[in-house]
Amino acid sequence: MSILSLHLAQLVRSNPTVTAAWYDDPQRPTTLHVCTAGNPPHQALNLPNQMPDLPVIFHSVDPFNTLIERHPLPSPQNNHQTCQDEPVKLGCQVQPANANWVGTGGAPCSWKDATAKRRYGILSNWHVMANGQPEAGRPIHQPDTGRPMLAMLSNWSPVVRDGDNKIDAAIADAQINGLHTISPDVLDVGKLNPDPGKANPGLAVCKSGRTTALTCGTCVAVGATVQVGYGDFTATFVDQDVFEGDNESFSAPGDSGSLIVTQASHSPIALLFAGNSQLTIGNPIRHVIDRFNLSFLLN
Amino acid sequence: MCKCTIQSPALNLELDLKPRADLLTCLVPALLTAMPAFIQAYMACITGGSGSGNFKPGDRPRC
Repeated sequence: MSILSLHLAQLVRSNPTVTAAWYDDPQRPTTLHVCTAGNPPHQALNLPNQMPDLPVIFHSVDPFNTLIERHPLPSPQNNHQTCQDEPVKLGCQVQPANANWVGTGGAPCSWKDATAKRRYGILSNWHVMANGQPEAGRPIHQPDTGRPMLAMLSNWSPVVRDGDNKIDAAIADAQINGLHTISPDVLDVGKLNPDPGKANPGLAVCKSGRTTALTCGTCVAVGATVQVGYGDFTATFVDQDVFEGDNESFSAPGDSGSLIVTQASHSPIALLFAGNSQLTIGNPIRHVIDRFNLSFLLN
Repeated sequence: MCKCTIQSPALNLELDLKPRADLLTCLVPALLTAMPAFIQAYMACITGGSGSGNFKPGDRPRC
């Protein structure tokens, strides 16, 4: 972690009312952006030693939380929440076994297992597919546990309470009885560009998710430090991408696990995992790719 | 009653035919049932560029 991003993490941790912070330019910052839950603090921010003395822009926003939808669920509001026959297009609602929540199965992807055999499956979040029962083989259903298994939990990166997190991600193997349950297409998006990209402020993006379906927006910031509520604990995430919707909210509870892609070419950019009514947070996809040696090339 | 099942309707067909199975009432319908998945797997294989065609989306009912 660079000194500048270390400062951001210290700033967020040492100011209880601060929920997120980022620089306008992570390499050559000229402005510091600070999110607070409620009004900006009356007293001066507790700034880490040697942090650059920059103008501060405060954003008064709701706290950031993971974006799962808990039971009881309303009747399906769109085709991202209804049952699909195979091959299932992702960007749809999924529910793990023994869970009282749903999230989004974000995107088809592939990786190599311990025997170097290529596997094909679903990318989503740890808190959507693994939380509560992090066991390889845990059934993942679509749209809920009342329908047949879509995939089996394969690998995950647990979120730690103490320390810095970079990703909240999990993958599930979608091969059932010799065939794959999933389509190479994502609902309302179509085929993904297998070449991942990198977010930068101003980048036009879209996502396909369980609750708000297809929404498009803009990258607001990169390299952000964010405090995210997980219900019974709060976790710190560093080096995160921040997005906002163009004319509507970019995400809502139930959209956790969605893949954020570029509007122009559908290149994977980030894994959506948290947000509030104003802003959405995504793990840069390069961190997810590195963790699981992931590919979006399906053949 | 004949027994005629296709275990994996992809490139490797496994047929389980009992003696005197009626081809018209058993094997042919089974092959027709498997045909879409067979064609899908075949197309994935030949259009997969440098890939091996290992990604074989099924077309089974779930709902």
